Amino acid sequence: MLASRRLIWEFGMSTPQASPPPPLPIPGLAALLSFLIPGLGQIVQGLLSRRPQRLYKGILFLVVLLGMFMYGQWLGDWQNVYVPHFQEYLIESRPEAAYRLWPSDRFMPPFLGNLRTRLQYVAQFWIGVVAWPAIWNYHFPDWPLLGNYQLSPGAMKAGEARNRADVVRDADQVESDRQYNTDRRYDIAWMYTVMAGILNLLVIYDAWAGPVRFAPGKPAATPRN
Amino acid sequence: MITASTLLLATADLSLYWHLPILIVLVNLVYSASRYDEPGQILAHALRGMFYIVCFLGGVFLVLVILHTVVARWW
Repeated sequence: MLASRRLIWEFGMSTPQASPPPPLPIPGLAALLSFLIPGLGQIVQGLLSRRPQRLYKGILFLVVLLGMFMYGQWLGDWQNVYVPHFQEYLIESRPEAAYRLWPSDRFMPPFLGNLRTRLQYVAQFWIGVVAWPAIWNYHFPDWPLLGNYQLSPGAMKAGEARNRADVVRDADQVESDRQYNTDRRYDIAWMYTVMAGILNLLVIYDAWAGPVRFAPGKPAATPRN
Repeated sequence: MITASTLLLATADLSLYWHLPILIVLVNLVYSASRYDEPGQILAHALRGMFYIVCFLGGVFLVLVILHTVVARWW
């Protein structure tokens, strides 16, 4: 009796499930769609399998996660999702401070070192296409997507008159000023975007494998004497 | 006339701690929705998660208040 009450409390099931739900359609494609746009995979699965609860869930993911990501960007003046060019500057000008591939003494490749500089982007990336202009702008600074959206600080454009050290120093100054002027909002802003990206990993998994549910029929663990 | 932009600006100027309930609700809703399909179960699980988090944060808050008010006098 106590064990069943505990199950109800922990898993929200008032009655044990009689049979497992039917398998979800197109799990791989749905995971890819949810990776591109949060919740899109669940929406398509809901439409294909005529399961409205899955459709509503997809809409919830879409609104909440994209809302969190966009709100975080807006709080951060649309300047907190980017991959900087910093490792190149360190390798060229301050090799003693450049990121290295532990345990060897070799420099990290620039892209990897720059992600190490901006770990937030490793989480932001998983929100999908809305975070990917940063990758484009990192590799192709001369052809930026969507104006000033997710530009790469420290990028050397063609015909740039300044050297890399000056470009990086100027970009760093702009970032420092922004942090100073926006106070704690600066950190709250990128936190929203990072949390949205991490939560989308759960959404991708849900699209692929279905909800993580308590296995029906599994006996409850008996306490040791 | 209150526009959406005005409301967004208002939330940006709010105290830092007003982001906390927003984040607790949103994170728990998404996490619970990744565990269940039924709206009732999602809501029940999310409410329980919110309750746990609020209790944990409340406990930490109480410990800090005690440290600040009571223990500090003995120091």
